[in-house]
Amino acid sequence: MKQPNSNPQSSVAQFKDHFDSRFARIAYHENTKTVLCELRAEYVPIEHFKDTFYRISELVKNGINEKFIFDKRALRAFHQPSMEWYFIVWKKEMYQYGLHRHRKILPQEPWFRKSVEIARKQIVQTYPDSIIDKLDIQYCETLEDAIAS
Amino acid sequence: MKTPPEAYLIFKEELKKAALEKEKLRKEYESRFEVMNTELLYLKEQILAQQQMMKTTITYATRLEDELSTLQKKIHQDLVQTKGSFH
Repeated sequence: MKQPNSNPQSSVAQFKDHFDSRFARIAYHENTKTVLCELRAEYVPIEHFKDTFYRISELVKNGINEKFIFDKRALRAFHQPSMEWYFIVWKKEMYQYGLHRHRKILPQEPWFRKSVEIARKQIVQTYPDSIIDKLDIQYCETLEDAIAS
Repeated sequence: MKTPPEAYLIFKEELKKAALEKEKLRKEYESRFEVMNTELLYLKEQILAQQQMMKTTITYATRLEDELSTLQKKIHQDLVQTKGSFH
């Protein structure tokens, strides 16, 4: 039988806090070089969104660059310019620092998931030379799945 | 020169305290308004972002509808042509 959190080295509780705000929490796991970003608000203004990701960049640049887990379950509004920046600028920069594996957790609402899919397609069409196809991106349902995958 | 009556000095002191309290309240309210305005701004941004999401989704759905309609017409035309051909 499969034991939950059978690998204690990578359970959620083992993550160390790096940054905490009203909009997001960032934690990391040194051994597995995993960064976790959990959004905490229905909407994150772009200045706070960028600030959060610059703090993640600090970790990635310091070698915590094996996997990035982005938990967006709290979101109810998808801000296209923020997502474009995240997709095109941030991911590309982090790719140069060795971050290839991205795990995402979306809200359960089907309309939100569909909107994200459509917006993602648009971004890929608008920026055909992006590095998206070089990345290992997977969508997960739980943090445990994201940590394990 | 006569010293002012005690009541006047007490009144003056009370007035000074009231002015300080007024200033403190003013700053407190200004700060609350600022927080509220920021929250309102965020809410406005959130509504705009949600509207944009809806717009994008509806545009996409409309395009799919058009493509489906074109495809259905093409299938119908092909069927008509197939029926009318000699085999």
